[in-house]
Amino acid sequence: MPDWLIKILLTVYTKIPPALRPTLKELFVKSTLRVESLAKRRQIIQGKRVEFLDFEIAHLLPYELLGPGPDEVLVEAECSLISPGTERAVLCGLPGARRGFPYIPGYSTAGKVIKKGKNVKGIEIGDRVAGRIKHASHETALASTLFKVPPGVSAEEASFIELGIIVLQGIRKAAIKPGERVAVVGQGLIGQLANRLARLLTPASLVAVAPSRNRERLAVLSGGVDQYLSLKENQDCVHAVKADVVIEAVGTPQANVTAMQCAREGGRVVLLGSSRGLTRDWDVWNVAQERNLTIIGAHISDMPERDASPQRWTYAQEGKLFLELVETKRLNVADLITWRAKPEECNAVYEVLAEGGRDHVGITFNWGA
Amino acid sequence: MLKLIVEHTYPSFATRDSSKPIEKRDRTCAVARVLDRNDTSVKSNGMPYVLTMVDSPDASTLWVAEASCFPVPSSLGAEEALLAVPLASALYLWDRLGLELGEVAVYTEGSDFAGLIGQVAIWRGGLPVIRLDHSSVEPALDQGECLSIADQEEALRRLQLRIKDKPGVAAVDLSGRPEIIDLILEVIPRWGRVMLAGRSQQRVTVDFYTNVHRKGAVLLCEAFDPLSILEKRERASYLSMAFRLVEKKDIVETCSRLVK
Repeated sequence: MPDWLIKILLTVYTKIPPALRPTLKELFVKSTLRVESLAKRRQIIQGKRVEFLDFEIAHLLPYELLGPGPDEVLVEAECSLISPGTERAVLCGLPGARRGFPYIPGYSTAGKVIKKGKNVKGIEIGDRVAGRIKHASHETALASTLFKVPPGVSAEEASFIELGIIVLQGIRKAAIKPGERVAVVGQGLIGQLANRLARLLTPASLVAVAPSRNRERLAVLSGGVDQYLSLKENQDCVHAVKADVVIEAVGTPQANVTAMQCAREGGRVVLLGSSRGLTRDWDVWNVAQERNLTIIGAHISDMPERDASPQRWTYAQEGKLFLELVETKRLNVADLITWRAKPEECNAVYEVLAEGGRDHVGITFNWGA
Repeated sequence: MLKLIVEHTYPSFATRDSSKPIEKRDRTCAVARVLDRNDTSVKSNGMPYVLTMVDSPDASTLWVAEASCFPVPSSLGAEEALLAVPLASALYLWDRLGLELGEVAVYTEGSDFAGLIGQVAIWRGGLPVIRLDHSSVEPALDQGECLSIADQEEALRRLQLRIKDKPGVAAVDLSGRPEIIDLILEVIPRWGRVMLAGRSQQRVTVDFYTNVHRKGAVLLCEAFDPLSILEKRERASYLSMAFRLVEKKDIVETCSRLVK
């Protein structure tokens, strides 16, 4: 829609009495979608999706979308995984995550292709796919951005795709060698996935560092950590960790320093958690310089779009590897799910998340249920 | 210099490798106690035993420069300490090749340590880890694959298929055989890393333009020696990683099985 038209519509909109605005807005959106549907000869699909209507308010609402374009497929969701850090940050308006409302959360979903565009190759109707798709019953996506789910990988497991890629790129940058001592600071979903992926690289020891013992049960499951340290019990335990590699997976500014304190002299610290906000009063000399630390930033947006290089694989390569690790049973993720919610329960789910997530690690919406 | 009394040696390391230079054939590694002037046992860096190279598996008492002795953690027995040496060499080998999680690792027959080298590739996250072998007698490692090279063309086709679409490949030739080196260089994709670690007895014809230059491949040329880590600058870091690994029972069992 051209800018001038948007300006006119906004001017008209502000002159309408507030009580009538939601109805008129809905009418307008539906009308434009129908015009677009006719113009593009694409069917209108009815679906449901999770929406953040305001701070700490999430609802499952019906919505309409256009059928797939030439390069797109329509995916019927089976399972979507909540990304606790990002979604909580948006829901609660944390620094660095301010978004306008309504906001449509979610970016890690597995489902089935039920329609495809005419240019799509390599994906057929009925194929199971996973990728960056919102918490919605139906969603269109560019076929080239999706991963085909191998047989033997469940929808629940495949729904970890995006979180798996996020952690894989961080673990890759950590360049863990067999026999190194590894610590993972933070035991939320990212931390627990980091445990499992670090374990594949045969560390001599794998230590989890977390604020409390709430998530210890999951962390020490097969494929997890050797030792679990609680900061609540002993704040100074960090100095005894002396890890060669530390993965920061908390996502708070203070956790960056905690991670550095866990490293040995000359160690590497990978900042994997998205620590929104400022890390204040960082004693650069004592914590990092004097101890010759290497601090490595690792965010999914840093991944190259094409052509991998050492320790920097593309999004597509990491995604394919993640599914292969699950398929070959080297990586188990299903046991990290602590709450299999119905989409209708989204209000309760996000209420818990806004409070800090309690003891939950992996929370999924099961759309097929 | 430190006076040492040898307690355990690993004679088989060196003597079974007939391709080694004569003067090095008898060299092996040993776990020894440090003695003081009165021939009483003393500790080195707080540890009762040290690891060192000896010129002969039969050596009993010797003088060694302190810098050539590596204290063995007290949690380890002599057997574990000795296993740590080839393990550290294998760790060093894959580190030189920069093998990453999810990359294809290819290794070959031609060394008694091939199995260990393949296992370390698995421990580094290689996926898949493929052994190239003339016979199919050698069982594939747990989580590893074995590919027969009896039929060169078929092996090339199957290996190309296995490597296709993989982001990275690292390969080590332990055989020194021209046909295997040729196969590896042919199959290695863009940016592949290859180590020629077998003792090549024959001349090899290589299309450097196509298989190295155009692919941006890296060719590391050396000979794999399970003891050589003790003579490398980086020995301390690799030995300490290996010592930590052989503190684990399952790793010792696996290494013992593969090095026998």
